[in-house]
Amino acid sequence: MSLKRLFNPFERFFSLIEKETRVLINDKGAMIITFFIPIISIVILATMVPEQLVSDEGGGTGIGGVVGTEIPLVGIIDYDNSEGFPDRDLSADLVAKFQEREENGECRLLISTNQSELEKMIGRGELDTFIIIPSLFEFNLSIHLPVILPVVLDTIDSISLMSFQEFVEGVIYEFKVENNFMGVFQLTKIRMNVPENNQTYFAAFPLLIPMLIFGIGMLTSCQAIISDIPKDRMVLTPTNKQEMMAAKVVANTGIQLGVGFIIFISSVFMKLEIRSSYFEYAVVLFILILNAVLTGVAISALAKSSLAAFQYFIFVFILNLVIMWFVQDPTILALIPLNNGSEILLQVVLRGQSLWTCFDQIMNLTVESIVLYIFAYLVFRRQKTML
Amino acid sequence: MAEIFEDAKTRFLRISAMVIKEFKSLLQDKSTILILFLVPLVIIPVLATSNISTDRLIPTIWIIDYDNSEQSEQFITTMQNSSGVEGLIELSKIVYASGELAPIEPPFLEKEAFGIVSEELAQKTIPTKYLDAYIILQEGFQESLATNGTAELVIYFDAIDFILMVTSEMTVLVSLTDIQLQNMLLERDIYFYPELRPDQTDMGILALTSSLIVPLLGLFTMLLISSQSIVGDIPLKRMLNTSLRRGEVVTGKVISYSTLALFQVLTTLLLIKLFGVMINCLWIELFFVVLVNSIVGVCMGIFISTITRTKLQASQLFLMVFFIMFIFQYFTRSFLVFIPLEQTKIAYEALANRGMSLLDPIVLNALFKLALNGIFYYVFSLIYIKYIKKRFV
Repeated sequence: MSLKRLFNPFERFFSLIEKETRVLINDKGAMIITFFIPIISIVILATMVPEQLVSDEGGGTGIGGVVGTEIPLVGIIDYDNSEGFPDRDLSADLVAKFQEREENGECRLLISTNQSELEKMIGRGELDTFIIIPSLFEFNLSIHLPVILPVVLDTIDSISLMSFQEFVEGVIYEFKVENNFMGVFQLTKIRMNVPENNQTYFAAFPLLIPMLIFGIGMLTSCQAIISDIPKDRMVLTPTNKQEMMAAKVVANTGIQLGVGFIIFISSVFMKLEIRSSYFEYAVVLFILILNAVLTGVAISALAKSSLAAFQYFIFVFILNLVIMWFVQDPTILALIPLNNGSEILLQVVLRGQSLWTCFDQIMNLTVESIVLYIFAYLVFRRQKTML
Repeated sequence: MAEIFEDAKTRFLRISAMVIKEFKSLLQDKSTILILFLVPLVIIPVLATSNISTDRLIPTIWIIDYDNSEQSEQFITTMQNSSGVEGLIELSKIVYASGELAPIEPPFLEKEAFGIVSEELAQKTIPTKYLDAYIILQEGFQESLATNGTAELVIYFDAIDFILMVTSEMTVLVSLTDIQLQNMLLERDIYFYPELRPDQTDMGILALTSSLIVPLLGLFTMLLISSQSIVGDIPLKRMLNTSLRRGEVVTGKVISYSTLALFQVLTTLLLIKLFGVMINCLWIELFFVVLVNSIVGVCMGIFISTITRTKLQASQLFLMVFFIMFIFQYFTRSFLVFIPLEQTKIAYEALANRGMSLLDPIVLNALFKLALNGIFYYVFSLIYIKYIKKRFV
């Protein structure tokens, strides 16, 4: 750095940004991985799951594929011996419907006459669900009465539960439509705004993208202060901590904008159906990136060693995830950047609402960012020994 | 023979020294140790004290009535007042009918806005969060019910938020069932009635999620901390000039970080017990499974630390592993045999929730796959550090 540049605050600041950026870019391996994470995540989501998750119409809950492509183990027990329709055995027809699915490789079927055996199997996790066709099934339908079809579900495997329920509901719905057992209200269900392309990516978008941005942004910038070896020497120059801190934030934000750019381009490339303008989408990404970087820098200022910074990161990241998934209190959720980011992406980018409708979430993120910046600066200023 | 014993003895001494050195350096950084235990100490009480709430999943439904008959009005009133089928299922919803004022997307600078429910407005509002489904009661609704005993209903659901769409569909179906029962309108139909085993309605969030959270906490904290173990070890280069062998570095690190994991697992499971989560197996069996999960995390972390050149690279690779595992486990449900979290989840559920023993084939199978993952990373770390790795910090 020349003397002229050193004493000119603006030039000094830009030199600092340049230095910070160079430090980050010099670690080419880390940068490659940084930019590779969103690409690999989006590619897996776009290519390794079925294209069509939900149809525009149809039965079931319509969410089967969102949570998996596993083959369910289905049990059936047929208690119906009643007569009602001439030349037909309705319960056998329903069983045949499941057998058809088994032949197509969509499920594995166990036809039993022993309910306690099925109960035992479901308790041991050897069966995902079983259907009980009740007695008088055919007779009640023949006299225009509705029947209740109990479906026993294993709730312990919570990840696959929804897709297995969807599968069974889908088969039953198909059976109802084919036989015109549609009840009093003949429903025509129409699903609006179903994306034509990459439905899994679309479904995962509001959850995955904030996770990617916060994960990568926080992790990279959580080393900004703690791992900066030359900063002790730099304090001896006219450079002050305020400038150093601002330069770190700008440089890290710059790098993370690259990650944001990859996400942005991937969305276009993967034909993500967004309803906002691309400008609004970019603004949302920028807000999230800035918050992630500032959280990381605050961690870096607080941590006493590089390893401690990583530990703080994992703590903050897992806490964010856990609260977002499982805690429903609106006041607590408002404090969680991942949740705010997820809401803005869903409401603005996917639903096409104006940014104004997410004013609360944007304000939460902005206030958090400012508070984090001030906090990080105060901690950084108080630090005496930096190495 | 004596030579073999002597060699094993010196090897043991070298590894012990490595383990002691590793402990000393870890214990010097007290904040790191503190955070390692802070993760379960904060997250488990948060989950234990949270209540399940479905407030976010209350759908807003509009009914557009083109029939304007007594029957259609009755349909709307029942739909608005119904909270599900009594004794079977209860679901909340917000219902607005034709002519009523319903909240819509507010214009800039306005806190809220309302519009009169109509089909045209519904078409505009359906992509937004202000409307989740709308039902069209067509002209002739009453007449069709009186003459045929059935009536056609067209229902539009918003599919942007898939989870909310599922809730909306279920809410509408339950409400329609309630309308039929209240008005004794009966016609051929098959009602899907889910029975849950076990019934989780009274279970807390921690009990519901412990099989996901406990392995996640153990695996990822240990993976991250151990991913810095070799790449961030400054004295290692000097130590390799002594009689210490490269393979012994990996073994020493696995032992020391696994010991640390042991205490973290102990803390986590004690907290689980403290908050009253039902464990239907021997406590020691569950402890063993969760410990193996954390050791696999250590082996993965050390593998990452071996193949990377800088701390930042190691941490970024950790994050990539995290995202890939997350996507495979929660979205694609493929390559599950390579996902330690999934194998631990299977073993954990079988032990803690299903009451099986450690020797049950389901548990053994999951444990075998889990151990195989750990061995794979351990062996590859040995091979890499011995034959490929050239640069140390």
